[in-house]
Amino acid sequence: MNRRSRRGIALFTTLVLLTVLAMLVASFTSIHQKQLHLMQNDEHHQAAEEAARSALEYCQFRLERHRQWGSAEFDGAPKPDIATLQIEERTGTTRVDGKVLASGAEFRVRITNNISGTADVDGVPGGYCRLRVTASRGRSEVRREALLGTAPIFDGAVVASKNINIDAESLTISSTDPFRNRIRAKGNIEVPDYDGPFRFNPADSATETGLLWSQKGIRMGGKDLENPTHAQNAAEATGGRFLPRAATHHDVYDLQLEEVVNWGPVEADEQKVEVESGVYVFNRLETSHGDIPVLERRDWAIDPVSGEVTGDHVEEVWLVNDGLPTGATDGIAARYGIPENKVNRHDSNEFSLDTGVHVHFNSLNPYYGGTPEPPHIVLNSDVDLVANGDFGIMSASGNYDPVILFRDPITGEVGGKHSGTITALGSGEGKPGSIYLQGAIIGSGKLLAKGDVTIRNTFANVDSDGEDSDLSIYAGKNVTIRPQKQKWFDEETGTVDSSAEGHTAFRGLVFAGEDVLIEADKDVDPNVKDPANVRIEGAVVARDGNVTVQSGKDVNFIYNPLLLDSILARNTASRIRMELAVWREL
Amino acid sequence: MGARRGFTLIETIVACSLLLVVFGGVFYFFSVGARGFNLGLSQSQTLSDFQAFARLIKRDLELTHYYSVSTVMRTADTSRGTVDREGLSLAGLSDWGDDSRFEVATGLPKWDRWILFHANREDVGTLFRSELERRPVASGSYYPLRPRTAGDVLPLMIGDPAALPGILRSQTLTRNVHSFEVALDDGHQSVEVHLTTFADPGLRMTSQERDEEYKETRVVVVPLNSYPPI
Repeated sequence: MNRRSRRGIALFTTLVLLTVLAMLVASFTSIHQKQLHLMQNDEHHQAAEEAARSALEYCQFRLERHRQWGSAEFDGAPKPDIATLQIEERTGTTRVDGKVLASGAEFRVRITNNISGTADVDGVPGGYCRLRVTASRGRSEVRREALLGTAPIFDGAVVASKNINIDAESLTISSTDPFRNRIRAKGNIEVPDYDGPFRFNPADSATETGLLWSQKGIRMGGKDLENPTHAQNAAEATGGRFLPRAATHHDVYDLQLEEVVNWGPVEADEQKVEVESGVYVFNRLETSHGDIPVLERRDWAIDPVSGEVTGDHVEEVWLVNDGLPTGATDGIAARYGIPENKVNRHDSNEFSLDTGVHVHFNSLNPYYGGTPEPPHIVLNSDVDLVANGDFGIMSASGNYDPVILFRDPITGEVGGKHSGTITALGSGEGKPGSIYLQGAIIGSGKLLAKGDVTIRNTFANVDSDGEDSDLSIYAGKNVTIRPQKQKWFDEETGTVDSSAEGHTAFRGLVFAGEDVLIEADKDVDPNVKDPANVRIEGAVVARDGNVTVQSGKDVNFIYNPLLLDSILARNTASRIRMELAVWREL
Repeated sequence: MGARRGFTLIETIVACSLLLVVFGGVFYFFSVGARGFNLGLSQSQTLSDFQAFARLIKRDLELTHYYSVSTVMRTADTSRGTVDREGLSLAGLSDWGDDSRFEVATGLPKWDRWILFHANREDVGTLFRSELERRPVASGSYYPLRPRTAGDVLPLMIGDPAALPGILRSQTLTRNVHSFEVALDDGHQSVEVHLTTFADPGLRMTSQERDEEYKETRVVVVPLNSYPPI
């Protein structure tokens, strides 16, 4: 081999080595690039997915504050600033363009808002809004469609932002909604044992048999459902779901008095009647010719020991002259220490307190005899009775219970579609705007108060199987329901209908800004337990407090969204809640 | 020019030794590179498989209703011990792009499919995805929607899914399955899926030791079509 050929070997060897090295480097680079692409694609796809979700959340946020948003072309009206998003609502279109600032992913949303419609529009059912979202990042693009529906303002039979504590011999959680049969508490839930006294009663063909949702703990008959065995036993015994320590988001809607002052369908013939603030107390007044019945309007006062409304100084009196010698009523104003014009004398056992507000003394007035019946205050169902302060009805002796009756003024029908309203708005003179009613409550009525609502009901029911609300309660503060034993309403006749004792069954919404307390022990003697049945259809809500039932017998809470919709019909024009019905790929 | 002198023995030995060191170095480098290449290729394949699996299961879970999801606990005795080879059943839709697959009045999906993910009990398992028809109730409605029980699902987790009666579609998602676990989180209304795969032990890049080839992926999904939301 000569010198020249030997030199060639070195070059050849070097070239081979360099080629091998180059191939290795190329392979590594190729693999890493492939991995990088895979990861980048995945990251971009993820970013596009998240952008689509951000678009959905933005649109939901806008719709919940303005139900007509996107139903007409945007006109350049101001939009909210969202720190994480760059948004443009395209003027002259129903399109929203946006960008997620953190990831750089972009989205475009086409809106078909048919929330206020009843018929199908462009494939979107009435009551729904469709969003068609295209989101992209790099070469990744996702196309999604969301269908948003209006959610019920309250989605359970019992809802509380603090605790729910139901002490009853039996508890049934029912619903007329096949998709929802739930009670919710942001605090603890304590209810009777799943092994017998507790049961779910869902609607026909229900997807959700029942659900107890709590952001803290759930105890059933003292058993902690954070224990998996108890949780499994509860699920097997009831068929329901139990979610202690739930981490999903839920807010209790902060219904305002202003939103519900005229709740329900607008009645053409509604009239507002203002009455003086105070407690209207049925009493007897001794005269030289014997006792006569009187109705006194007293200053609102609360017994500091019992916490019960008692009434203080008498401000105005109504009485019946008819059947009494003239002299029997003489000196009444002086005896009460009120001006003569504050003594209202009537010639009949039945008289008007104000427009659409009637008083019947019935057999409280012994001179009239007839069927023994307690005194009534009758409110026409076309009347919104408004007290610029407080409003209460009770008997002075506590030995009998008045009846508050809501009635159709024309047909005399009790219940039905129309309902009267009692509103206590409070006043700047320290009156909280509370309502206190003792006795039976009959008919379709609404009690709206800025402060507390307390009913010591011997009876609260009209037509629990009908289509209309019987009794709805809104209290800016607390709602207290105390079913009572029917008392001897008249000492002279001594008759009582024990079948209606403490009966509490009505359809409607019970909403408290703070707590709802149902003291179901009918007997006032704390040593004697006499539990009452409680059946409320609609929803019971404690916005910022607890729902407590004490000493209940058979307690049944029934969720009825259609009823709630009818009660809150006027309210839906302002704020609404939206929920995702369908999320699909296109 | 005098006659050329040959190489001495020492020169030859030194030259050979140097050559040996150089070629040894080159071959070592080449061998490490080749192992790295294989490792990278294998990892790239695993990543790709996991991404495909994650995207598919995420899609199915994201589009389903949480109430329809159920799991079936099952274990398998393998040469590497007893491992979970569970089943995941959920409701699906035959065609998300077809408007007729949604209720007219409510716009809600007509859940006409059951989708089942399960890993078989072979020593090195296989993960399957199967689709079965979900029939409406007598009234023609696809509601109420309730999860399938273990009694419904377990018979479908035995044998070749493609051979089972009523199966509309069956696909193999990944082989080399070590364990497949599913957990439902009621508190968050989410589903967590945990897949571990196993492959024959491979050499490390820089030593003769072999690594256990377990690779795992975890996917947490909140089903978005859970109407009404909780």
